[in-house]
Amino acid sequence: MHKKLMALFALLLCLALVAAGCGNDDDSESAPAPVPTEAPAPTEAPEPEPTEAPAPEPTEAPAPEAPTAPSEALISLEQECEAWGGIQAPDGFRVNMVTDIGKVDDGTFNQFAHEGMIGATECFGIEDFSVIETASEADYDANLSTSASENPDALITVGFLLGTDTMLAAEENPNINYIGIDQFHVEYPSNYVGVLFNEHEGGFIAGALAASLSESGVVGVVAGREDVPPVVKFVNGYEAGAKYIDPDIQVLSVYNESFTDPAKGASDAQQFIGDGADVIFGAGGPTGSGGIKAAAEAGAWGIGVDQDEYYTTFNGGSAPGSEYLASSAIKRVDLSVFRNIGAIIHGTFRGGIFVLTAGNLGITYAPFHDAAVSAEAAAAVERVRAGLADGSITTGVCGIDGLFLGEGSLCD
Amino acid sequence: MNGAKNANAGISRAASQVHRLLTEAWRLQPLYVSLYAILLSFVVGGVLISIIGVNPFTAYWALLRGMVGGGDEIAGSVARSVPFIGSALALAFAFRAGLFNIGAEGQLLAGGITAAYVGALSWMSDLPGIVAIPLILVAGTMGGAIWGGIPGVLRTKTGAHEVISTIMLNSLVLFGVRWMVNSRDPVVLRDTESTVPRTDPISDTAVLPELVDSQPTLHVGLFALLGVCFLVAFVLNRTTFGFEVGTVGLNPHASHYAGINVNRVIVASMAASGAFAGLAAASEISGTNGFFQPGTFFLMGFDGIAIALLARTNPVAIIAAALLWGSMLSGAPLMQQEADVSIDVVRIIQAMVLLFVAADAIVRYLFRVRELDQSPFKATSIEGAV
Repeated sequence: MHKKLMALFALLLCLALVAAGCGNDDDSESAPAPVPTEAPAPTEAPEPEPTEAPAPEPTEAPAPEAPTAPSEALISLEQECEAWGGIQAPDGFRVNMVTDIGKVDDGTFNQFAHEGMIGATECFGIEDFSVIETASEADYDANLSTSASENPDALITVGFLLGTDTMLAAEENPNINYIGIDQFHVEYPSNYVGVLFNEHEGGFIAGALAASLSESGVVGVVAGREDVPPVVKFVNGYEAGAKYIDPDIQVLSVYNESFTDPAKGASDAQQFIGDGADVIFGAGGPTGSGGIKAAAEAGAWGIGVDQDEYYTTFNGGSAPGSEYLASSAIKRVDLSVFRNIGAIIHGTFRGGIFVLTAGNLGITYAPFHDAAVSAEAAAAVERVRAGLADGSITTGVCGIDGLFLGEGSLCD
Repeated sequence: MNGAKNANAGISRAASQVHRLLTEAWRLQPLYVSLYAILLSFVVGGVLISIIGVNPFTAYWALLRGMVGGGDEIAGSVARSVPFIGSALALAFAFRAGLFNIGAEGQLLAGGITAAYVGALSWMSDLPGIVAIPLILVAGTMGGAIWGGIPGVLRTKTGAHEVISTIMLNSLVLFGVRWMVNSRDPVVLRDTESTVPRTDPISDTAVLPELVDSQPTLHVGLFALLGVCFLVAFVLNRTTFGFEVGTVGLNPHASHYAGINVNRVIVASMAASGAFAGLAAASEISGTNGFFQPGTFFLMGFDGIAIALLARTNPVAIIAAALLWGSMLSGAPLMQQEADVSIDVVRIIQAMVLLFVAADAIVRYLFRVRELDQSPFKATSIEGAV
């Protein structure tokens, strides 16, 4: 009797673990997507860009000729490395990393931050580095202290959920420099940099591309939660960018309750396409990805977000519809990690906010890959990106809450 | 003659003494299965580690030091294990009544959110700690008990199987508390000052005293949960209610015939199970986190099922099983940092321990452990020999 119960129980347990495994995926996908709820205030703190260091000059990068080639602004880590002029880390220099829930190859900020760290170790000749992949929110502080016990020179922590624990750790270990991805605080100690993003610029670039591609004069955006400022920044930046190219364009937008509901994103996109839209920007994690996938299936253009969705949502081109993924508005988390490690070696590291902007090539767009984007559209989006980068174009969207300037935003 | 008789009696006494010791050892035999299962799992895990190109001894050495390598590590491991005691008891108690409580995951959340809500009430800061701390623990316990009691009531009133209803209730409370903690419009329980979705911090007076400033903090909640283990052992083995629970678990129909109020036992044991999970959650809120954040309890309830199974639902053995479980999780990050072996390996080892415990024929065959009723130390055979 007892043994049978036990066996049945083991079976149930397996089922429960499978169910829990599904839940885990859900969590790891949603975790990095909703960025800091208090928005970055780019104007508030000096940006510790390594511009005083050997400046990474975008113009040095080889300029592409073909219209479908990636923007010159999408620099590789090797190009970034060259800009640092071959400086090397001292012997015994150590870089550690603690991820948010997930893995270093899970296609989220965890992966991009890890790529940046590996790029930096190769570039600066760093031999000592290690990673702890967090498995549970209950482990954040323990993982940070385990990582700090190796006394690294740089400790990268990924994701806004680690913000509180990273702040405490930075105060406790003044000799370790902390690089916190997506972590906003009002004030930072001098050994702690919080990396944040100008999503409204990314949205603006996506909007400009959408308006350049659209033939119907109607474009759509399928977004995540409206109470998350970065999402609002993407959406309103998108509208502003589309109207910058075509003042008469009609922009359809919808916010969703969840970042992890691809089916809802797909039905939103189908709705917009039914209303005449021929470009869909997905700005809300898997929900948005569901939107661009549905757009591609219906033969409309899709624009991805955060990362090059050609490699994730469209499996590197093997998923059907990849020829309809025009581009993605990307955040170069890897660059931010790379540059801050470089700044530590170079001695120019300063605590505070590090904002990834179009100006420092941290916000840009992905290559067109399989998509037949016209030369005019390609030229238009590159012009807009360059304009945002040199400051000749402004988005008209507040960088704190994402509302339009002059409409009661926090920037007014 | 007399001497010979004495010697004979002496031999006889010694023999019965040896027999008693052997029988004692034999009674521990289920323990051997668990120990061998753990050993076997580590061996298989070691093979896996070497397949991915890492020296398993390097990896296990780092794991061991992460678990018990120093005072802080030991305290951290114990602290990580404390809530597992509660979630495992949540399974074990209901199991004795023949019920499968798959709902510890949800009961933890229900208890946790209740404790965090009560702990953050404005008047809590006016109370002395001696009142506030029991209050927050009782609140969490009640929250868990109610959430655990619901499937009991559903079972007795409607016949709904508790496996189904506890799984459903898990989802209900998971998404419920996520909404309560995430929502800004309307603000339900979210701390609007925090950049991370969580509830308001609890009052300082409701914080459980700290024992060791480890990561995570080892707090007095340890004693509460250890106490509950012994209480449960006492209730199950020494009280009428415990007898009723065991009887219902063996045969509800016979119990009914014998005059036991089966429905009452079912509801009470489900509620008690939920209460243990709720207490575990409340002690974490009060002693470790200071606020409620749903992800902190992720998988704790399901791990509790595994721990209870490993301990064969024995409330005292649960303490040891939970310590093993928690300290493995606590030690794994050092293993990844030093040997680049993912925490997933620890998860695999844990899963294999369970597999070998459940499919104990494998362990019995490999290590020549015989079934209990095939004891070679049969009293008759020894007495016959003397």
